[in-house]
Amino acid sequence: MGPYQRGLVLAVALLLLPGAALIFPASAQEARSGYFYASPETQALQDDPFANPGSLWLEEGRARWQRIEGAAGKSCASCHGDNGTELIEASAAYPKFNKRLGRPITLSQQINQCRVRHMGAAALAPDSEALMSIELLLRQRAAGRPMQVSVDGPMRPFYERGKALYFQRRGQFNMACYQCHDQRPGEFVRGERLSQGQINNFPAYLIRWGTVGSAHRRFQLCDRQARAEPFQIGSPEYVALEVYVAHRARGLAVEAPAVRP
Amino acid sequence: MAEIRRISVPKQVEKGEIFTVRTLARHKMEPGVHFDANRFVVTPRLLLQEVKCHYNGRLVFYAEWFSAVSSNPYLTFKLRAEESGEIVVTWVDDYNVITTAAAPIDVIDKPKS
Repeated sequence: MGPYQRGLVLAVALLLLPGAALIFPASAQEARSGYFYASPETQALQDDPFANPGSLWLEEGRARWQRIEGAAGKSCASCHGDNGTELIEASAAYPKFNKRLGRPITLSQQINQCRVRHMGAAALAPDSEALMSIELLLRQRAAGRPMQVSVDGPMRPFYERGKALYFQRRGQFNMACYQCHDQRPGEFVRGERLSQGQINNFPAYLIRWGTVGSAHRRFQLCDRQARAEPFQIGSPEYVALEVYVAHRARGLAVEAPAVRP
Repeated sequence: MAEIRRISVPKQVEKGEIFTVRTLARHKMEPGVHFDANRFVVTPRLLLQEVKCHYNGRLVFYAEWFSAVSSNPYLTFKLRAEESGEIVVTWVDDYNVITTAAAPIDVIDKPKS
């Protein structure tokens, strides 16, 4: 055995150590959707197309897709067609850099941009039923496709900011995102089973909410549970965090409509 | 909120067969105990109180719901197939607003063995 082989054996042994997850936080683990950590009952609810409550939002989304609103007399379908096929790739790629604004925007914000700039309609309230219905419909059309958020070029500083937030300890419990979602997925915190915190399934129907909500609303819940002051939905902090977390979920299949506890 | 009511029954069943009726209603099921910290008001109670099922006009299933029923309630129950016709499920809320969902059912005679 030469020195090279010995080094290789050592490297493999190091990877197999139980503490390897601490040395290589996110990269060493296989990325898993929150579906994996959900209870069998929750999984069954998601898999049943009739009983899945998220499908109610889809139904509303399909109606809203065709609804003409605003001064320009247009609906979503007027520009994007009945099936919105050219949006399928894009729906899996948000948050995306917006050149006009000079910052990344979420899919929710893009829908509102469309409404205000092209339809002449009022922007929908963040996380409102109307907005979530349309966003969920777009995500459902992209279901099964891999998450592919770009963090190159102008996205880089926002990615770095989001990554810094992910690893920053905040709140009364002095906790950072990675402590639960990189180091302890699968373990219990009080009554809740931790997941990897992947956002390939958002907007998702959360049973505790009884409604479909965005990833930002889930971030707020995480913050409150860690006794940290939550940021606003759509705030620059959460958009940056979403850029990091969405890129972290790259390659995972988009799941919609998803059901989570 | 858009009112959505769903019902699902098998298209065709044999006479005497026990089949499942599945229903899903989109509803907040607001129990009237939630306090809004910004506006200092309690969200008024709004529940679906009653669910009834009529099989060809005959009442075959009845339920009274209270505040512990989840939002977007999903309800299934079993019926025995007697004759072809229509199954109508009715939801009644606190203000007597009635919503329905209906599905046809085709009952065939058992093949003679």
